[in-house]
Amino acid sequence: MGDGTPAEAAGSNSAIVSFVAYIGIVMFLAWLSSRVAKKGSFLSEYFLGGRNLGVWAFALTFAATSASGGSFIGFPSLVYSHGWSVALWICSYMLVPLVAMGLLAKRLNQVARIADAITIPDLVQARFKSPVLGLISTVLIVFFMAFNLIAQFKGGSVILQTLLSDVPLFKASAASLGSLTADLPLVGQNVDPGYLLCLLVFALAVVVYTTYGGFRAVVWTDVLQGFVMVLGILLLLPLSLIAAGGLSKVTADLHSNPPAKPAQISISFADESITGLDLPSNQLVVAEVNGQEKVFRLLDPVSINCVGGVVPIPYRMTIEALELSQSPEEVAHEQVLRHGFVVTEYESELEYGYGDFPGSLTFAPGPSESKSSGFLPFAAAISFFFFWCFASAGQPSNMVRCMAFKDSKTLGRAIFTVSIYYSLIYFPIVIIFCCARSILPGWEHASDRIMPEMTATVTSIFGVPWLAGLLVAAPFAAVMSTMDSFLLMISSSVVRDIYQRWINPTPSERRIKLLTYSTTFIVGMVAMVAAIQPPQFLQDIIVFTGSGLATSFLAPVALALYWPRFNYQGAIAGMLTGFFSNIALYGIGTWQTGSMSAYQPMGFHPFLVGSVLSLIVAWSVCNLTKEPDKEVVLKFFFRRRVQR
Amino acid sequence: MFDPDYELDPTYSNSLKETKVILLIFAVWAAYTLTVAYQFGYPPPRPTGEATVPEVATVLGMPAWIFWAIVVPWLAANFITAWFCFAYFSDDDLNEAEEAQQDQHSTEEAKING
Repeated sequence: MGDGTPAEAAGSNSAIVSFVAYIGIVMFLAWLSSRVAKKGSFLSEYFLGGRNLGVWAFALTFAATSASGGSFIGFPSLVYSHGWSVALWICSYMLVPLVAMGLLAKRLNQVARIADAITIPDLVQARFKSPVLGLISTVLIVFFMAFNLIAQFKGGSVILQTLLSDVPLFKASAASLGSLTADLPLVGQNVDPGYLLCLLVFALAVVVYTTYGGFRAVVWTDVLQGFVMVLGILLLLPLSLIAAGGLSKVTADLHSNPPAKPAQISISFADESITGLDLPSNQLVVAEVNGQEKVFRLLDPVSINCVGGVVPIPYRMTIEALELSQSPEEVAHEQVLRHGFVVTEYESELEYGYGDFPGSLTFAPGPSESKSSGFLPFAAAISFFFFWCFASAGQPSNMVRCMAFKDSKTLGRAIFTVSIYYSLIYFPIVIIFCCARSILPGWEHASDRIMPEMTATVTSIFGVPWLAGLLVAAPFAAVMSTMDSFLLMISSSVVRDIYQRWINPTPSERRIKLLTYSTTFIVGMVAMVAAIQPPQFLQDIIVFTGSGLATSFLAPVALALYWPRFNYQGAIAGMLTGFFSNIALYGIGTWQTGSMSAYQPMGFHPFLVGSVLSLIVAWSVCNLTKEPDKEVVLKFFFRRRVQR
Repeated sequence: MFDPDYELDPTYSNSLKETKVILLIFAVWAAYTLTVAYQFGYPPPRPTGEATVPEVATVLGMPAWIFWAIVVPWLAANFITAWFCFAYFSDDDLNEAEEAQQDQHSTEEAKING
């Protein structure tokens, strides 16, 4: 997997040290959080931290939960592959804190306190006095969150495996685990032991500290993880800019060099002084094509032994490679080997859908391998501008956080804090990974690895390999802070919304504690076992579940908070419309293309279509049915007049 | 009026007002960003055959359309967020006092139940 370059080795060593140190600190924080004086009921404390979060805790738990592994692996990969147009794709994060927190948070917090609600189904049930609606929302949350949790477990394990792939201790441990599990029915020969080892370590760490410490531990570790993420980005930004020669040079490079193209080349060399060749995968080589020197990145390792005429000279071989548009002189930070290679046959394997020309990386819609309309057609840009703001507002995991802050002042300050936080994270990531195209050209085939590669290379250029440890901790932090929150969401749904609501409404404190701990642990273990045979289409599953939750919950919850006339019939209709429209659009898209994808009417994202439909149906059904009870409206929208 | 003994909850009415302002800010920012991006970030369709892409003008090293369509509104968004949070956003009662009473009650109950 790795190419064994010094930069990568330095990065991997620091990765294992930072991972172990990081897990140690997280466990310590979980222990510390459990020693904080508790007030109120156990469930309120365990699932909401006693509704007492201050500015930093609330702001960073909100921000860190939103920033998943995608922010540090998938997003850099997108920037690397599609260039500056990704800035437009992500730019509505400028308003996410204001919209996602400001729109619902104050009313959510107030209504949750009036209803003594700990979970979203709790709140919905109290607002509409409808156990059926509470059950529907529980089922929807568990359905989507379970999918998402499994995908996040896989994502975390893949990141860890990528970062540790060249560490000898990791390789030996993975081999031992492989021989131990070879005969197990679930695992057998089909599962990569390296992946399995990472899954076990990563999942156990998250499940243990989440189970032990509950919401407060999750928030405390989120705060740590939030700081690690922003510090990592702020350190990487100036180093990347200096290494790349400044932003003007980066933009000029992107403008003149289109994306590298996969190709199959037959090369020959006739240099009799060479006794053997041992080229790792990802090595850059120069080969002459029609008298002109071109740079290729090898996609597979090449090993040839010429001693004693084992292979004859001149030698000819066929290699899978990426053809870079840069000249050998333009590649400044990697070694480019010359062995007098001459390309004898050339076959480009891929016709770009759009963007195989200079300038495609500096203008929208950006290059795309598969789509003739490019990476971000204008309708998609509109969709994503709405998506980031309103889908964040509609995530139950964010709504729960909005039920946990201390007071209105805290909310106001936290919105501003998150606004600055996102500004320091998302646009700098765009700049850093545009720089990556200048520093490390030709990684289109493995752009998911660009974050660790960039980290290792940049810290190696500046002779500060210790810094790589902190920088590679950022993706761990991002994944863990999302996983722990989702885990807690599912266990709270099971304990509060199913057991306490439907099975035993008045359990003893001791029983509820036991049930809560065991449910959190069991849910985590089940998700881990499910992730052993990981689902395909990881990023698609994450987008599908995020979109599904938002289309199901955004309109009904917003109307429930702001429209006194809104009744349970409207809420059920809106929720189910959002849910089924998302399922239907994904179903059609998957059926049409044969892989998991969404059908997008006129280019608009299913989230936008589903949310608008949900809003229209909820409003229409509500107006066609009777008004809600006066008592409910008075409770949530009015207060007793103060007698003077 | 719904009931003469009741008045509209000020936290609710303030939240509703704030929500309208947020939606207005979102609409203005969306209109500006998407219009400028469409106008300057999407080059006209290429004629078939040779690629023709305009030269890229830069501001502070980044493509000019990125600067005007994204960086400028992003900075402005931070200012409007600061105004909203510190000057416009009202400090409303979220029922904290009643909840604190309930918490005390449930803590005492928990102690009694062991």
